[in-house]
Amino acid sequence: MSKNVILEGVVKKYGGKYAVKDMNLEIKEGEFLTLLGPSGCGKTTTLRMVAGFEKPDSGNLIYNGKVINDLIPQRRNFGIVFQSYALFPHMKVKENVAFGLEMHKFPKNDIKKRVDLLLDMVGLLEHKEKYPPELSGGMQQRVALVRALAPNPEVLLLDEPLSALDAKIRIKLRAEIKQLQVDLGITTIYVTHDQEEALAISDRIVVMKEGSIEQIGDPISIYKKPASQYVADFVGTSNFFIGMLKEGYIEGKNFKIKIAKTKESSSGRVYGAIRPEKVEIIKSDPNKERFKENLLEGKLMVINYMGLMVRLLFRVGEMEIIIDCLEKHLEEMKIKRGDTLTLYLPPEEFIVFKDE
Amino acid sequence: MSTAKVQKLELAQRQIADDRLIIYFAGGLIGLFLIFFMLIPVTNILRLSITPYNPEAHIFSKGLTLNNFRDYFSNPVTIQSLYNSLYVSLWVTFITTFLAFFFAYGLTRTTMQGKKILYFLVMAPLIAPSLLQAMALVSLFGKNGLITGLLKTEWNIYGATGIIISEVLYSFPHAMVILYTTLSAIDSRLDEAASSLGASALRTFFKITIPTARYGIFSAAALVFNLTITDFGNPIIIGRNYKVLATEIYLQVIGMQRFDMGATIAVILLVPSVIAFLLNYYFTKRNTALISGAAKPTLPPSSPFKKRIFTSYCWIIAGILVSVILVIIFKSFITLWVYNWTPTLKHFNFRVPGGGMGVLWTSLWISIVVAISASFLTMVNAYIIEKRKPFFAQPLYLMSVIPAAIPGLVMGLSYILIFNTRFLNISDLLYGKAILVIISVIICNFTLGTLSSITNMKNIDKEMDESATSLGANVITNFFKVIFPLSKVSFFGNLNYYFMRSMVTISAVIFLVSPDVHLAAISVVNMEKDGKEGASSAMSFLIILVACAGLFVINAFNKKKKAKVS
Repeated sequence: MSKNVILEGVVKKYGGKYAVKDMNLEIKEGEFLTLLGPSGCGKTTTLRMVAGFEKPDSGNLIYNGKVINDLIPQRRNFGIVFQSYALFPHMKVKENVAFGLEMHKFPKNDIKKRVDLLLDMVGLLEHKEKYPPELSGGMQQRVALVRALAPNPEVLLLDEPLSALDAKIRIKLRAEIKQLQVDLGITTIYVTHDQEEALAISDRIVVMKEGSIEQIGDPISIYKKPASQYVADFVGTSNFFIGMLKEGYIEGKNFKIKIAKTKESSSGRVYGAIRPEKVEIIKSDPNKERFKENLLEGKLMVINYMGLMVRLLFRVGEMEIIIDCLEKHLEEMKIKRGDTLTLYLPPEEFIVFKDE
Repeated sequence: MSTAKVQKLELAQRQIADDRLIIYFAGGLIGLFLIFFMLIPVTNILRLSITPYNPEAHIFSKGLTLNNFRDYFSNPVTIQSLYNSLYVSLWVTFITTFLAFFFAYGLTRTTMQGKKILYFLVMAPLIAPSLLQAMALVSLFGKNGLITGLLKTEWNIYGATGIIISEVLYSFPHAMVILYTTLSAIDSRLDEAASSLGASALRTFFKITIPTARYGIFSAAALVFNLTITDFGNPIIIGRNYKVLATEIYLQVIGMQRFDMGATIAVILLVPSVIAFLLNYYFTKRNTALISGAAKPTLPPSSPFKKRIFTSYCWIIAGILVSVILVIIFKSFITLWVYNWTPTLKHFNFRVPGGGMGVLWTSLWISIVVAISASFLTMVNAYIIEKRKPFFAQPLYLMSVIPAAIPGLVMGLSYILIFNTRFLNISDLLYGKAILVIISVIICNFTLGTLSSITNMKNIDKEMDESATSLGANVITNFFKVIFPLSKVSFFGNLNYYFMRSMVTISAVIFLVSPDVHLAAISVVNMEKDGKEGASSAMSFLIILVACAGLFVINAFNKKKKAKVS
């Protein structure tokens, strides 16, 4: 029997409103799967149902070949880590980690050894006699992580574990979580609203919207081939051109843009999406064959330095276009705020979605 | 794969340790406790108020009648007690709220010195039975009062005036606590914003301070009204011929064996008391909604004039409240008040049933039992209601809140009416025994303990509970290893509260004491009524001593625990 976690037509309602709508999902053994979406999309509810804190209104949760809808959380042996850490403040770090082991009646000697081993793994062995409030947020979350891992859970559930931390620690800790997960080979379900985090850490991402799955895929396909305008907007940044699709062109109020490929053969209102890093700034002679179409005049309004990259905000008529490029290119081209420049939107980089 | 089959197997397995069953069991027990010792007795008293009664044989017969209500409202003597109660309570409500507001204002909005000690001093009335104020007033301003004698006047402190003054002194700390909490929770920067926009100090006070604190003011007023109209101790001592509802109930039942009229007047007393409770409850909710959790900025220094005004005002009030206790302590060592000032210890040689030390000991051990069991019970109750939310959480909450609306005197009377009859076999087990006194005190004070525990539970992260659960802890382990240690502060707060209430309460137990179970606070009432003022003062002093010692022990224990943790 496979140790996959399977959700089969799972529905959860709160006061008549759907929190999760007919969810079908299979999380493979050893996989790192992320539920991604804005607040209220049902990702946390889904996780809480897997953990056993909520019961599905209908549908089945299946694990190890058994329906576990009615199984109490204590008997699921799934570890969970919360955004708030939820460490017991009145227990020392080592007592926190030992808690689950004691509940599962591990022998006393083994508990001590295992606690030391786990704390050593996250570099907190020297802090084991401290109380959680004496530790930094990042340290506390590491303790919470090994506390959840201590009783050898079969599935690890993480509910926005990094949201309460500083940006730097967030990036460091997410790498640690990923490394730990790979080393242990533990099936992991990770909930986050941070798309960058999801792209960095996951084997597969489930993008959710209003209780339903919008798209499932590995990070590259989610980013490169968003299945809907919603995903294109939520994961990464996109410039949208809204207009009528006609014979390979999107026609808007004051633009006409050629697109290379489209699934939407029929005409109608569409969104043409292009990623900021795909838009080019034309400084040299624009009379080459390639640049016959899709050229726009834009005025550079804002420059955001982000280190290696810069994000430029152009005003084109009534639209705003975002462009990401390397900081050194900006320097080479000697561009400054207020300049009016020609932007090229390669037709092959557009993805077209029907207006919903 | 056959899902149905698998499901059945799991069902059998999970029932062994299903948390829900434990919660149903514990919550069910608390629910039954409240039904049996609150809902049924109170419903019964409502029923008896409209049941025919034979005054000669002292028994209720079958049938339905409104005679009692007709008698009460048609007799000018009895109906006077309703008017008196309302008259006195409204005055007290107005005066106490007014005085307490400015006291709380001084503590929260000025930079005067000694705020902590002032706060501590005005809590003094809480450690004394609610007849001490009347006793002190009589000693000073009564017919043979010290000040009356010194000034050679002939004023009359007895009746409405005496009740009003003593009830103001008694209810002051209760109102002060609410107003203090309100004023310290409201962002004082609102005041600053108003004055920076050009509003004068007076305008700011009336346009900003008062309106933002209004729900706190209303809720304090409703509480004071409720405390006053249900109080028994002060009016019985200083009221003389001025009867209020509470004393009227007592006289009908104890004096004339008219259980029917007792029940009827109890129902009449229930009406204003329930209304006051509902108002208090409503305003408290509105008040908490209005209060923001914003960080409190430091106060700018108040003007020397403002400081001087509020310092004198607060110290005068604190002085009066404390001197009530000092007068009584002093009096217990005086041979014969006013006439013979020779110091003596003879008043400590009590002649009460059970002996002086006997009643004190009974009060003490009953208070210890009440404090521990009630603190524990209300905490479990709050945990079930707030954290576990079983399907009966709402009714359980409702039943936990109702006791605050029921005057102690009515609860006590409802107990003798139901447990004193042969109607229930269980009566032999309960009536005249300490257990009924214990239960009565717990029930009468059940609401505040539960509500403060619920507030505490709200502060414990839901995820704390869930972490322990997913790590394999069942609900009992979870409660004792995680929830209980995190609730220490509120638990000790409740220990203090229940211990104090139990040591000083009169109205909840006055109908329940018997030759076997006699309590110190009740013996004070009896000795004072018998004119043994020295002895009643001495006993009050001992109660205060024991209460203080108890609080000291509880808090020392609490501090030790805290030190261990941090």
